[in-house]
Amino acid sequence: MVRDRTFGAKVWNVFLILLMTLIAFSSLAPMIHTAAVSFSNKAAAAGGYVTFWPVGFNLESYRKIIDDPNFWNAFLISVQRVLLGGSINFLMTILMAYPLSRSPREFAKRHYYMWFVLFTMLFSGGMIPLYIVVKYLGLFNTLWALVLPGAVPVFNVVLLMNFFRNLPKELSEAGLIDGAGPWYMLVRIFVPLSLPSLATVTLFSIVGHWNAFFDGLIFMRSVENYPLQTYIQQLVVQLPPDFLDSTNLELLEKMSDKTLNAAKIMVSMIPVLLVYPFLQRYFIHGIMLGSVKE
Amino acid sequence: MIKSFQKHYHLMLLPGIILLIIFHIVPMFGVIIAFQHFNIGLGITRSPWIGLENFKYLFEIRDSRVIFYNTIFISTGKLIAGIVIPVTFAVLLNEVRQAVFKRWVQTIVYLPHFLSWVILADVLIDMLSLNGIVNQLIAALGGEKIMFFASNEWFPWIVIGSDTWKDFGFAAIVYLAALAGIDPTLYEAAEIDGATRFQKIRYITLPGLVPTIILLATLGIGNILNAGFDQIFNLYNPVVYPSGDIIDTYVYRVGLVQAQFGFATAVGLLKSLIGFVLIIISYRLAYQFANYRIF
Amino acid sequence: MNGRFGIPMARIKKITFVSLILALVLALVACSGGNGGNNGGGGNGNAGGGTGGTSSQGDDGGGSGSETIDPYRMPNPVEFTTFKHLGANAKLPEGDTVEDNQYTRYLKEKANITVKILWYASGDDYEQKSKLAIGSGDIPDVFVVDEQTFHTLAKANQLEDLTEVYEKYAAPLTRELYASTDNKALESATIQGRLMAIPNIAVQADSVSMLFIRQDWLDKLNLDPPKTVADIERIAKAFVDNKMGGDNTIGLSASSSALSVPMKSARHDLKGFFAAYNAFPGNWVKDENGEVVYGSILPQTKEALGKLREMYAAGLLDKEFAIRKEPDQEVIAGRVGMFFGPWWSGGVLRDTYANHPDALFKPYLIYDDKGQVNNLQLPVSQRFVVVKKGFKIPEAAMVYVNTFIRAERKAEPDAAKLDTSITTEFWPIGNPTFDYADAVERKSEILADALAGKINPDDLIPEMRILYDFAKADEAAPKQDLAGWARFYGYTEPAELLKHPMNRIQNEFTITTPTMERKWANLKKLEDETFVAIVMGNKDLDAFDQFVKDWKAQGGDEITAEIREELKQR
Repeated sequence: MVRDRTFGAKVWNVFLILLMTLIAFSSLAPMIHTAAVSFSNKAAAAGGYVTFWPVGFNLESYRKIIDDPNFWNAFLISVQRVLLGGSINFLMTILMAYPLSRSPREFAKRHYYMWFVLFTMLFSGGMIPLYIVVKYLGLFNTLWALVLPGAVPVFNVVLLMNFFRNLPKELSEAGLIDGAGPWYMLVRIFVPLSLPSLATVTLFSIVGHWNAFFDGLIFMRSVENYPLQTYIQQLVVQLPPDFLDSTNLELLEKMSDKTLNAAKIMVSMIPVLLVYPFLQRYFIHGIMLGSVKE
Repeated sequence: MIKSFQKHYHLMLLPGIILLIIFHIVPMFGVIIAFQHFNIGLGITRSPWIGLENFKYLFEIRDSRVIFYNTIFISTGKLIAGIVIPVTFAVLLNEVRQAVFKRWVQTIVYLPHFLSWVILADVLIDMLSLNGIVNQLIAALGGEKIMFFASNEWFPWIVIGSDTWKDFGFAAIVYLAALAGIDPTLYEAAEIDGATRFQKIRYITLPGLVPTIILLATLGIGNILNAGFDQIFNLYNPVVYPSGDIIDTYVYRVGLVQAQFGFATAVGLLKSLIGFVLIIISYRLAYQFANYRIF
Repeated sequence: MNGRFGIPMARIKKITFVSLILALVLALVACSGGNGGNNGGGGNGNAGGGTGGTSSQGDDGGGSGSETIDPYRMPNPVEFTTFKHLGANAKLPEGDTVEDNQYTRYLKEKANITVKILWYASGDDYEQKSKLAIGSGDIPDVFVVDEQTFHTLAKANQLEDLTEVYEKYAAPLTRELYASTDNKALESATIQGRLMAIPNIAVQADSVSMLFIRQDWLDKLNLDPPKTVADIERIAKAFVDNKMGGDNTIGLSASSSALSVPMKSARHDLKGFFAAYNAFPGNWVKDENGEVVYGSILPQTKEALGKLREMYAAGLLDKEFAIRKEPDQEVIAGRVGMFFGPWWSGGVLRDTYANHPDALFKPYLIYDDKGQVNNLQLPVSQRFVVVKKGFKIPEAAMVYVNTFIRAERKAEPDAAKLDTSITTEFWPIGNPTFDYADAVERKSEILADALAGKINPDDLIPEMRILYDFAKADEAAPKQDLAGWARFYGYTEPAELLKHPMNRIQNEFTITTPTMERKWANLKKLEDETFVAIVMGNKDLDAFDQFVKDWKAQGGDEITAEIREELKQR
């Protein structure tokens, strides 16, 4: 370990830290700007006077949000959706990734399933048939409509399958020798050793559910049942020109209220901000350490 | 192969397959719309059948070559940058010793992924406007100001660059997870053999990432005709149509005239088909020449 | 027992019965066969259309004695389904919901109608969702649609013929309202001679594009207010040369879509500018021969583009107009000297004043070289109340509309008690806007009269009272409450301009034709690219001529012919 303390290594480290700091700042900048706008005075924000610091500091926009029952309702629905949908995703991903990760020798029909899954990832019938199916199943306006269509996150399945495949063969062989069946292998051996990748697909699934807005729009009956992003999207996005007229003045005002929009975005981002750091502790280096003894 | 295990593998896959069938395969009946002159008043059952006309139309458009070229150019650019940058970043970040600092950086760089293009477009256009930061810098250095968003030379690169900036942190997560899974004893062994940092990266880290890189690259190829509607829609204008108009933005404008589900579905189907074929080709190539199964 | 010709009575009854059924079936088949692919004609063959459910064709009920028709009330309770647009942030008082509020209660009490709302959404989301629902076959009983959807549904034979319903059930007040549009409104809802929808009446005030100028800059430079395009140029030059808004002063601002004239005036369009040349690119208008033609290919458009091109080269037009996503920002930051906008542009002015207390904007109309103000009107009707084909009680829709109109016009004592600060979108099927075409002008008169003391403020309806209060407060302390100021401002100076005599040009065609579906996106792209290039100087002005040739060859002529054909048939 003496080598790592050489001058060259230290310089290299410092350089990296500087570089990373620069990069981090560039990523942070728009966030800081949005935050600044959310705390600023409406007219100042509309005039583009806000850069990285609030102009005319006030909490009005946040107050409006806190007072808006629909916002919190939507927030709650999104939380429910993430919990339910995320759990189902988690289960489905693991259950499907494992068999698919077995080689053709171990699992004869593997190829058929694999290409089937890939097919569903690329092809879709479009919104109208999905809408019809969901209605037909009586899921319109229920939480299940937000959770079931995406119950199998195929991209995550492929990702996790890839991770499973790259675990050393010795693992399964050792397990076999110990008399383990596939369920045991999956639950007791593969899952514990795949924490980083499991954390990754969990993160993706949570983020996916939190950010989805289109399905909320299509399958929910009204604002009361919208998940958060759908609710925000209908307030922040432009009205089609046809609706821009004097009968919509109030709505127009709300739309061009940059500070309110910024505040809504900040609030809706908070949960996601917290998830990743939480999951980061699963990105353990050397998780494989000691798993297989030579 | 253990016969008794087969049953269990099938069982594990069963619930997922059922769900996929219900929500992905069954709705596939909707592809029939791609072959219809779909009229919302008539619905699927009564809209007239027009065969491959919707597909033909896509290629008959005066600018079809241009929009295909733009789509592929921008997509490929994003694909390449979308691998090189996150991988480099992940590898470099991995080298940093201070764990807490690493965690902070990881979290911060994945934030832009969550900002929508509606907002980022505003910021970007502002930054690159004639009186924005970038042009002020150029002027200070004695150069001539550039109207970036009115330039067909700059526009595609702005699109590729800004998209990479927005998503590299998020993409890096996958690579960081893969890095965490590399056997540390390999590094220790290399250490003992006297390998330099760069040798370690070259012979251990990168190879450890190769399967993941190949997987993501292949999946990315399947997406080659999706150049990023959301982003381009919010950034483009008629001046940069020649370099920025992609398939999706064109289809969108067609839909503005009159909602054309038939045409839109046909385009979607075509994109999926081409993507799928490309994936199959990649898979075959990898298998033939490297004896490697991507999936 | 024997009947005629010795055939048993029971048998005769049976035969009669069977033949009646056969006749009915034949009649149905014949009528629907005739309707196939056709729109709504022959409504009488429709078994579901009657009121009392009798199958006899002759009994129409109206005026034939026992049935008196109340245009404001259904004889029996009626319920129908709908889905609708409801603006985000629309507010209701405590305890009220979308299904149960003052309007739904009023409707139930007065008209005996309840509405089941299947879903509602706002803005673009509503557009998407309604198309999806309709495309999936989910069509409610009664709902409001835009012109394009109306035509699509009518042609697909999905709508109930309302000709008779209107004849019998339209209230006098309703008829009066339509008469005020020269019956053009009803015309636009008529397809092949049959009334297929109950049309709304658009408020024309939204179509006018006025020029808002920094009056304080004009005053500082001692300049006369503008009347013509030449004045605009002159003033813009003065503003820019004198850097009235700092180094980056913008003489005249525009937006990326400004080279096409919108029907509803939008901020930063150039509608008023083009109108001064009698040019209306992007719209179908009548040429000197009375033929319908596309405005963008007319010589006046070339002239107007030429002038814009000159102004751009001279730095008078916003150099980044085609790129900017937020032209409002430049105005609010105090850099813009002039912009075109509708009468309700007060919001932007308000924010500018907040940042620059010394600023002052004034609106002006721009005249053409004949001294006239030209204006492209909105179509008389843009929203249509339609009834799903087969719905048994279509007159409920008419009764609903009658009730709505009467309540909105305060022609009914209880209606006066309705709180108008609650948006009319809460009426069950939404707000199709049945107002007098000159509603804004009327309101501005009322406000002016109230301020001058000619009307007692307590007599004002709640909506006007709110405006009056803000106006009075502003008189006492000018611009102290900017938010309040913005609420009533539109009804003062801008509304005054609306009363100015204008040469009103009609929009001849606002939907789409089959060829347009395929070729229009391409033509529009050609137009957008060419016009922007011309104005920005990337192409010569003469590129316009080539554009006209290309436009005609790539489908323009076809479409023009189609449109003329279609208009003849109306």
